[in-house]
Amino acid sequence: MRKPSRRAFLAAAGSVGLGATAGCLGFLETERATREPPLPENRPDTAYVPSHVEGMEMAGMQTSGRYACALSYTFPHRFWLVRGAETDRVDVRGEDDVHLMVAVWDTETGTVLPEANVAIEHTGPDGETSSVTPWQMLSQQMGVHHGDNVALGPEGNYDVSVRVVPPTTRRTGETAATDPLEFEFSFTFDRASLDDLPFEDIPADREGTAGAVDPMDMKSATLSQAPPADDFPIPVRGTGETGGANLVVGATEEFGDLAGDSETYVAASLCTPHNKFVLPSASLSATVDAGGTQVFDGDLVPTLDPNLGYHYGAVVSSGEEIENVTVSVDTPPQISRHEGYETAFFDFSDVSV
Amino acid sequence: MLPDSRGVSRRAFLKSAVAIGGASALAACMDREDADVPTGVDEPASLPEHQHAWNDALSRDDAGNVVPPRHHALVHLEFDGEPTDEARGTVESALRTLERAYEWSNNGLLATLGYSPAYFERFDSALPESVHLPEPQPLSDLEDPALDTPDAILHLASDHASGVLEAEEAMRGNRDTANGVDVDAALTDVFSVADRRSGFVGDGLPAEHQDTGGVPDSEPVPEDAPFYMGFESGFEKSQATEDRVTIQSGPFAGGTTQHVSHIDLNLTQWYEQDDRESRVAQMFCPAHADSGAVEGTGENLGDSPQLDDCGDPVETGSERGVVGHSQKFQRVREDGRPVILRRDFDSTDGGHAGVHFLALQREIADFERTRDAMNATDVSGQTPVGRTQNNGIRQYLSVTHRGNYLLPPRSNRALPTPEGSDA
Repeated sequence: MRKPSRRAFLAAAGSVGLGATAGCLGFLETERATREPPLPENRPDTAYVPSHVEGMEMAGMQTSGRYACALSYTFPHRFWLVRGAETDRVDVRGEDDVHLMVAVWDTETGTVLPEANVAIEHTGPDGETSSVTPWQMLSQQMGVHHGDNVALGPEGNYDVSVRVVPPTTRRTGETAATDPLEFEFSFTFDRASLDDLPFEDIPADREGTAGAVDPMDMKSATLSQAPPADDFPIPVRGTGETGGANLVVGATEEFGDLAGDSETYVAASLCTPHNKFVLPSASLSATVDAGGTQVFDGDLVPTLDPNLGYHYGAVVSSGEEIENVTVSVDTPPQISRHEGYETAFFDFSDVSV
Repeated sequence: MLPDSRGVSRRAFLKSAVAIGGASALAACMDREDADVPTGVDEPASLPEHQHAWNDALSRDDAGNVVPPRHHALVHLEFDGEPTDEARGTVESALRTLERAYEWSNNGLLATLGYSPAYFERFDSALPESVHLPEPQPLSDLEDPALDTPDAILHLASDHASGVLEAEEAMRGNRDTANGVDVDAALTDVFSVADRRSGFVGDGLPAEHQDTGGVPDSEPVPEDAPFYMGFESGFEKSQATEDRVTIQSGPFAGGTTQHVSHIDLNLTQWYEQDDRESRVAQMFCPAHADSGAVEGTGENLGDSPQLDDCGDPVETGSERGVVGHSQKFQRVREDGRPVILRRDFDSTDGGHAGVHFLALQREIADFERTRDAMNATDVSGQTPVGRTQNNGIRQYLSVTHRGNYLLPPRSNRALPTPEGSDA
């Protein structure tokens, strides 16, 4: 069955009359409908089912060397910036035309690169060029990506150049080049076909309940999912839930170039509870006890590994058997959030395994 | 010329006269300003030996901060001839025309003429060790600037747009008189003009020029802001002294080096997504956002951004996930003051809100290490702060051009050799 479109949603919302638009006067004043359903009431402090899900259009996927970049877009929607434990809600502006999204990953390891730096330049049919530096973002459908609401110009063809500087995130294996890369895309901006994108207004009895909508089928692109605890690439010491996130803690005696003789690598994988998306750009620290004494008290460093993906890790100088690892999340993931994730992953407590 | 929409778009009509430039802009401007511009001096010896000695010629606000001239032009010049005594005489004569025509002040005209590494390449000998003037280069892998390599750069600044325009027209050989004084020679008698850039700084001017690219349509720039980003920036205590940026020895003693970059601003996120508290945290530091230390544009801070309470950037980054621009800048200091003297101004060049970031320092290395502190790779490497995101104001800046120049002392400003003398 064909999914309902946003056009259908907007038409239905319009037919309800003025009562339904209370608080949405911007909608009445602007020609372009940028309205979203209202936020669910009583949002829980955890991942929750959002008010709606929306389809997106993939403008293309390009590779350059070992890196790949996908550009996609959907209608503009609200999101939340994060600084420390504070969120700052960003509402859709009347002039916003699309929500642009860029995903960057390493094709050799299949890992998404949350800490890549991304800059987008777009040139419209009128020859006007504008640029935007999208925010690092987390959404239930797409996982970690870079995105922003963007005002384009007239409808027509847009050439988009995405400049990516691969991240300097620590790697467990070989180093990878971090020279800047350019990826070229083009897409047709057409409001009518944008309004034909799938759109599902989630019923009131489901929206706002703990949970998440399913990740999108990304086809050629990679989702930023952490390995599950029952298929973790290194021995698992234990798992825990904190701040609404899942934490898997593993330890292994020899690990890549990082941990050698008489050393143990401790890895903490922090991810969203349902879709298992990694939660990047947090500060984690740990204490480790082995042989009856504390052998480590320090930061867990963001690290990329072909099997573990993006995780937080430290080398512990002890070959003795680990008795306890206590992991603290000192600063919440400093990643902007799409609806359904903006209340979660802020209030963490220590996890001992 | 930066990419330009001159004369075609609606926005072109709203550009300032200085941004448009030329005789017609000057005519329109003189009609409107009707300024009584004081004339200068016949004897250049009465002027400071430092071309960059502007502070004593400028006014100060109530807190003691230097108030920069409101209108600026940067003219890029190519020199295709030989640096003969005759050519030197022409350049000197042209610059003395400006000194005679305009009082050395914000009410008259302040000017400097600088030379690039490309200019000095024509000589067999190299610049002495007392001058550090490398070719411009990208100062982060996150930027991809065009590298400016004109031979020379003329900086003109005045509170009167007509003063800047008229002086430029005179130096281009398009006028017989400047401020009623005969024009003896033009710089274009020996140089050709490769590019011109323009801008403005001071209360109200950014708001007047916010109908341009990079600024959202909601006209968010505060009416009284001296810069597009909405805050004061020229605090006396966050500027190097003119002495600190002056070359101390060698043939160019009394000169300085000048870095000029152009930066595009993206103020949509800044004004429409970030809230004020975030803006204060990113421009100054999170502690200032907490304490409400910054009122309005920050004029209440006096002659110092008062960063003592901001703390160490790495600690702040770890605890708060964000670090302030001024807080990072604070780290590169000597005797409690920065090592660069900023004379930056905003611009609508290229049809886009931007900054001509003009900084003076004893050697370009002083600029580069200050810039490195703004990259703050230690902060982004050890904390959740990103390389651009939540890292001061880096998210909103995109460097498009960089150029390095030597500003010789006044007595040596006409086509100098690397030895500084008229060899």
